[in-house]
Amino acid sequence: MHILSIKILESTVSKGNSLSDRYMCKMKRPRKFGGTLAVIALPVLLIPCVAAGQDVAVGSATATVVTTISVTASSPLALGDVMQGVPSSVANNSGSAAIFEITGQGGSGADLYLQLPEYLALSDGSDRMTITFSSTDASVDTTGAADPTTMNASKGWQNTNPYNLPAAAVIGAAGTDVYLGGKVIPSPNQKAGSYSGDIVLTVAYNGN
Amino acid sequence: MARRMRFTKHRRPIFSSFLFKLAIVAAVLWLISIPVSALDFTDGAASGTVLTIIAATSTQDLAFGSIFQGVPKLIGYNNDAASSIFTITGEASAGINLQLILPEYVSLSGGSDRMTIIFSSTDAAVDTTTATPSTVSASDGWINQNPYNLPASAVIGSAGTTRIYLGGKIVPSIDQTPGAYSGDIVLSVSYNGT
Repeated sequence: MHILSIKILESTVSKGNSLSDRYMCKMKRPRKFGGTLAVIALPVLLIPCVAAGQDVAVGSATATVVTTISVTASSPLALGDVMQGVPSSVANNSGSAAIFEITGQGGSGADLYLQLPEYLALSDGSDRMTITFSSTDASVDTTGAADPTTMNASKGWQNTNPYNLPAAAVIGAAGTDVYLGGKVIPSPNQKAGSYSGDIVLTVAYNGN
Repeated sequence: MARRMRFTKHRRPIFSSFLFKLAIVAAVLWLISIPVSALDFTDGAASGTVLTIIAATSTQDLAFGSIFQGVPKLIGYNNDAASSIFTITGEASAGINLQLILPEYVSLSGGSDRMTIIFSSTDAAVDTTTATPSTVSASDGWINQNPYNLPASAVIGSAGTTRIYLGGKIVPSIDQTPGAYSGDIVLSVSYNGT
């Protein structure tokens, strides 16, 4: 800063024509210019001082949402032809059992909830037929085989209660399937025709 | 320029006259002749020491890891592996102001979805020792603190370091888009002169 002022001073003096001109230049011009420089330089000199008294650090919050969980009803519970007054059952290891296929993050815990009908109905609603589910009518297959006929206890949970599926259920690496059997009880005067009812499976991650 | 030069020439006789120069020389000689005892000088000083520069660094992110749709997840400030850690260095025992600027959401990098993040009134700790998130106690500083209102009496630790530990809670929706979410957590620190 000071060195810069001296250089300007010398440069200005060399342009003077007389002693008084030089004197005037020395007294006025360098001081005016030096003052301007001082005004410019002062904030520059102060900036490091201010910066040293405070600091800011930026961190992050990070999270990864895993693969979406999804479920598909790939095969209905098919009770086939039934006769008036003759109950008919389908086992959960039957080729006619209902199949629900669940996909998601492998190894993750999932809550499974089945909403089961109490009746099947004709499409026009003119008659309905009782359907029941026992406490052993479901199986949970964590191999993702989607084949009730090959199910066994080593693959997950076999013959479990469809109204209270296992709380420890997990999604297998290749998916998890729920197999469901059931029983229809036609009345002796059950109307002939095609009956149906909804079976709803709700699945959700539980954080396990 | 020309005007100033003319003005200078006008005043020229005043400074360059013989009488003026003579007066200057006389004044100098008079000053030299004054006995030393009549003059006195004292040398005072203005002194100050600028303290060690204060610096803050984010040394660990608040990492929630894998999140399931619809399943909230909580990370405590006492989680060694996952809590957020800020390290502050500076002059030992100096008072400091701390302010955290916390996000309300974390977002996918493309901005196509965001996820709520919550900080409770006990999600922070200020450690003036060399403890860790899981071992910090009240005697080490301040625990269970409000991250939106960190202690006004916070200081740099006696070893020249203070750490902030921060936890939080993430709340994904049931149809949260899968992917990696992130958001900035900003800590501002400054000396407060105490």
